[in-house]
Amino acid sequence: MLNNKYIVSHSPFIHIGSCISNRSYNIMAAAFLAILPSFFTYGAPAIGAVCLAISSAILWELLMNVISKSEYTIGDGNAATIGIIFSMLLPATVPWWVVITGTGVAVVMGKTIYGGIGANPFNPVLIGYALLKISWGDLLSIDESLLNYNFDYTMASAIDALKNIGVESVDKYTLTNLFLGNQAGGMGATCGLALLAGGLYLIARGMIRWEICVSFLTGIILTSLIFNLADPTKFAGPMFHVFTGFTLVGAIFLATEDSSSPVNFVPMLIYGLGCGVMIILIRNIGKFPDGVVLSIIVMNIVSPLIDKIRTKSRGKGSYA
Amino acid sequence: MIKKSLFGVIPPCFSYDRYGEHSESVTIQTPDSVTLLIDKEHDYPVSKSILKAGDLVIQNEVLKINDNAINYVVTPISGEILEISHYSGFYGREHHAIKIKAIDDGKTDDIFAVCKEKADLENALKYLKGIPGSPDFNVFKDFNINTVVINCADSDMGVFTNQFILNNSANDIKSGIKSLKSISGNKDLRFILAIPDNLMKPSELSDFDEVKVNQKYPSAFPIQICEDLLGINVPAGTTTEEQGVAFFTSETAASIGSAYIKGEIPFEKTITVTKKDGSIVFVKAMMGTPLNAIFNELDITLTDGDRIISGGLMTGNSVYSEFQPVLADTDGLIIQDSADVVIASDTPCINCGDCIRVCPSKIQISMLVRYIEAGEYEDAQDMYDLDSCIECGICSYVCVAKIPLLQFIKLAKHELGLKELEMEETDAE
Ligand code: SF4
Ligand code: SF4
Repeated sequence: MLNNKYIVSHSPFIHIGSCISNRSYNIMAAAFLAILPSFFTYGAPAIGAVCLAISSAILWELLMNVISKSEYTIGDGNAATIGIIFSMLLPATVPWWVVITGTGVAVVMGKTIYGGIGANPFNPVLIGYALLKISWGDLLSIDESLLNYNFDYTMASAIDALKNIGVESVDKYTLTNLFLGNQAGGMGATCGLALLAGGLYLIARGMIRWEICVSFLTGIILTSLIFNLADPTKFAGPMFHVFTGFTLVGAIFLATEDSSSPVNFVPMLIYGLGCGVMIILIRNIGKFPDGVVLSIIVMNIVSPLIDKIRTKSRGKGSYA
Repeated sequence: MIKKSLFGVIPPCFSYDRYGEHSESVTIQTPDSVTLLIDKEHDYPVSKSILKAGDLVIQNEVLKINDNAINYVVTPISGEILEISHYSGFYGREHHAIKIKAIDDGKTDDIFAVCKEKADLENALKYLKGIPGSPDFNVFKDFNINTVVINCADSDMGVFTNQFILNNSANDIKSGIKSLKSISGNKDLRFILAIPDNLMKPSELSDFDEVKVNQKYPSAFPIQICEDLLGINVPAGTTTEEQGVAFFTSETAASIGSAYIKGEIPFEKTITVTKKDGSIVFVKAMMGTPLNAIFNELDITLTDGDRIISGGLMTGNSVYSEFQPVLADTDGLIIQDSADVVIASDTPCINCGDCIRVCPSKIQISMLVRYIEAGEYEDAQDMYDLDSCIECGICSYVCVAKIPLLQFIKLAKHELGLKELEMEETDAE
């Protein structure tokens, strides 16, 4: 016992037991739940695209680790999470090279060049998706990609139909169909039921910040309700907006990305509400059919600024 | 202990373990040798010390490194000085370590006996600085103290020493309060007992007011007791003493009490020892006893890679050798098996916000740590409330990235303190 070497380190000497990889895997599990229905709907192409997105995202990060001679960070599961969330937005038939380019942009330009996990000002997935949308918008378009599929429900993308045809198209989509995933859309963006279940799971486990999620949806519902009440012949109702497009993916997986969103209570509410309101503005009076991606990117920009609103810390009250 | 609930959205329920009202304790025999520490003053080289190896000392002798020194230590045993060496404490604190071999000659210096029942600031400062709990009597000189809180709740987790003393030495605490009153020289001094809400106030202390300390960690830090229970705000960067509130632990009060009742300087330190299997033993050991004497007595075997913690789980310090002495503030000793040791990581903050949810001081730690990591201590202080931190460590406990947040915070405060000192010195010149 005389020459034992003891571990000398700093307090505290216990830890709650959470870790980043666990957090990533939980988020991936919830994402997988939302993607699962599309495996049954679209079969092999969907499975292939999702696997490719995850693996290519990991490889991109590994490549960057090797190039920058830094520690290998793929173990934290963040790259894989970027990959799977990215795949949620894609149509099942997306070409392989689009997937690889997208995850490359997301991981490299969205995350590693800023210094890796925790340092990215934007949600990497959105950077990847936005760039693809600008470059090869047709390949990401739901209507064009899923032309060869035909099921017994309306195959036109609901949110695009709303923009292109108008509010009368909404009647073709029943809420039940939208909720159960009987609609065309991104691989992980169609089944409201699965998305909500995954979201509730993540919130209950504390893996995402519920404030953002809830205020995001509140923003969507309130704004669309106002529009809808003002002119029901021109604007669709709130539930239509919640269950179409990328709304739920945005609320649960995109806006809640840790690094690019605020952490204080009031800022989280402002951030979420801001996203929701902006999405409906874009959908109802803007140029683009959806707007989730753009709105969240814009709110990512202002996130550090609104995060300055916070309660006074201890001992800094007015008496100080 | 503390467990995270499956539902992470509910902030994890951290509560102090309940102290089981133990009354047994194990007394460690007087060791063959003790090591005593004296805080260094200025740059006084050990070679010029008036104490030398080979000197004989007798029990209760006041040892000083030179005649003009303010700092002293009272030796608990008679014996021969084996060596005087330099000892680096935590955060750059420096001490002289005096190792004394026990010689049982039955001699004792009873200088303190004349102070029996006659407590005043002068004799307290002169003899009682190093007693268990290391009381700082200077607060009565330097501040305008109107309230003294006897903290019977242990602020850290896994330490129950003060609760043990409350339950088993209430009479000593009572006379300690009396002595503290006469030491302070303030007849109107108000005494308040801070007692964990699962314990009853012993009948001996029924004359005094009490406040109940919550079981939720952290609740028993002096600043929290002051703000939450007494309703006295402590602006960030100031101390409770500046607001007129001084804190003494129940152990300190009991030591002071027994000192003036018996006319003897107390040397016996009560320690909560937590073994590897989590079982708790209360130990009474003479200050200066090497820790390994305690481990031998309790049949604790240590192996490579274990961790010895002096103090509590959240804010204690780990020690590197089992020959370190028991000090006046060694309230707890926790032995952690190598399998239970969690190591911090250098992963950056992922901005998950978990720390902010639990911080009792409402600090935005995710930003604070970014500034500290970059060495921007002033900005950390000005913009992200470094001074508001009460150093409870719960942020590090929950951090997903396992960042040693408390260490960063202490480092920043330490560095700022050094800078301030430097500025004062240049100003003085
Ligand atoms: S910053 Fe950390 S150590 Fe300081 S008060 Fe907050 S939780 Fe406690
Ligand atoms: S808990 Fe750790 S990783 Fe999470 S925000 Fe706080 S410092 Fe950052």
